[in-house]
Amino acid sequence: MSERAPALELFRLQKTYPSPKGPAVIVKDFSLNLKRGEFVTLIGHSGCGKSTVLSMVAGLTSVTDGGIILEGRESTGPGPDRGIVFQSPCLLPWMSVFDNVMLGVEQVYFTASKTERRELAEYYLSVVGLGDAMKKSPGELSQGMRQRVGIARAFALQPKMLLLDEPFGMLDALTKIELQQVLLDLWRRNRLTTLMVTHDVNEAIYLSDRVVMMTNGPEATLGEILEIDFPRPRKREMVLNDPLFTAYRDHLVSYLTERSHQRNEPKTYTKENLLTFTSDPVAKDHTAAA
Amino acid sequence: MKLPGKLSLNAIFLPFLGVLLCIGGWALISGKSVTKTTTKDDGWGDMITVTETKRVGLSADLPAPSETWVASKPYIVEPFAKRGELDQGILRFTWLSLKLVVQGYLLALLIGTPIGFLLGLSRNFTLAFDPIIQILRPVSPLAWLPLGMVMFSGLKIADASGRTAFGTSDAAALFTIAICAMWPTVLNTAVGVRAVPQDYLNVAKVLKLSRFKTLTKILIPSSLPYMFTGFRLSLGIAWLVIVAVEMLIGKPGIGGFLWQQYNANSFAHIILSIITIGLIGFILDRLMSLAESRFRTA
Repeated sequence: MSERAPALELFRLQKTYPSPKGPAVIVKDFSLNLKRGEFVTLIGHSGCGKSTVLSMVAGLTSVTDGGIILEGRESTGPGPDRGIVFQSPCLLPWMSVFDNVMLGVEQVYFTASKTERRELAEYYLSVVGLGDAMKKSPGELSQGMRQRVGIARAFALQPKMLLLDEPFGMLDALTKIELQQVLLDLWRRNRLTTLMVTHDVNEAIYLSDRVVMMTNGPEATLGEILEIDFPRPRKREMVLNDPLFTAYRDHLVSYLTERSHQRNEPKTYTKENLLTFTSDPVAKDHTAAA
Repeated sequence: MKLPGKLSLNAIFLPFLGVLLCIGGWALISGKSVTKTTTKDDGWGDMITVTETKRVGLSADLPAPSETWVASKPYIVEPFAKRGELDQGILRFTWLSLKLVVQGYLLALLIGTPIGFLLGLSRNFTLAFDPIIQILRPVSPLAWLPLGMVMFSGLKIADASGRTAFGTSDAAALFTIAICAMWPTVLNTAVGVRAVPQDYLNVAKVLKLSRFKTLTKILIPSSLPYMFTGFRLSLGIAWLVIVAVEMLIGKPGIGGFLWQQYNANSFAHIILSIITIGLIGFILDRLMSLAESRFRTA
């Protein structure tokens, strides 16, 4: 297939749940294309439906209307061609770390020899820094280590794309920074098309090529798109100290605080036409207090 | 709940006190033999001496603790003696009962676990069979046994010498134990399967695990702690049922011994049997709890 076709195409996705007061529309008319090897982050207020979109792409939530096309094929159910890292690592506690990764590897590489499969699982576990902990059970690991296993498990499937559902949401600040690095290192080697959900603005800017802002629910949809123009590989200090980073963050925060309830034609912003707060949020707080 | 970190004096002393108080209460209400010698006129003018032994007390026929001990001693000091089919050491009887219990119990697990899984997995299966399970569950073993006798009437598997090795009453006993003991396993397994976290099922979905792999790698390990709770409760019931079954069919065993000694007016042996049944039941429960806690941490 051609290099220019999108790796993932979301076409007018809609999710409706039946409720006592009639159908509740969570997500409506959500359309987005991801280029091959692109890292896109969905950001929005909690409960806006960003996780629902991710879950629909994963095939774990049924699609009420619209379509998902992954690498030119309509995707209708879950499958190992999409590696998922959940917010909680979802490791099976009765299996060793190694067996948790092997469970997926055996499913995907059923034609490979036993040695090849073992090597693959071992490779990904050592890349995420768990070379010495493979025989341990998940219960013996810290939250951060468990999430490393979750990342290794997703990459070891060598999927067509990666889905990350607030993967660092439950970690402390330092562990979060460490794991963002682990993720970026792995991602650079594989260049997997990635769709991530987060509510951490800094994380979104640091990791993504594009940040997609969602409007508030119900009937949440695409609000704005922000293209992040930092060269890769990115260095954390460089990105954080760049004045552009602050400008990106102002744009995102001002969207979340001031524009996320509006419904306009989705517009793409780049570093040339960034928006910022219509009024100084600090000054506004002062007047509110007074 | 406060767990006794170190064994305090009370932790050792109070259980003894409790047992002593119970034995004291037992001694208080139990009867004792009183021998009365009276001299009376026999009607023809001769004075004769009559010796009468009567039992007196609140519950005159209930043997006192000391009498129970004296009468039970032969069965306890020689626990594996076999003096006759219905006169054996107490542990020999226990062994006979345990053998039957284990057979019936394994049968209960073999039938109960799959039913539990079906109930946990399929809503339609639950809708279809839950009412009948709820109706059959409270039925007493005393009610099932006659049905078992009818169902397996005429069954006879002879051993080499032509003696019945496995007959109607054996089949009926197994049937009764199995059908009474399987309900906790059925219900707890169903609860365990329903309680498998969605996260684990998502892993199975995402990896497209086959039905068999989902069962062996996810459903069974995840519901194992619940299943073991069911297994433990089932064993308790199986042990309860065995006594009733043995009484009804007159099989040698701890329950059969109890009933036979009642008929033989050896009331002390009833108490011996009750204490034995209780102790064995307690030990079985402890052993299953140990196994259960191992799986809970795994």
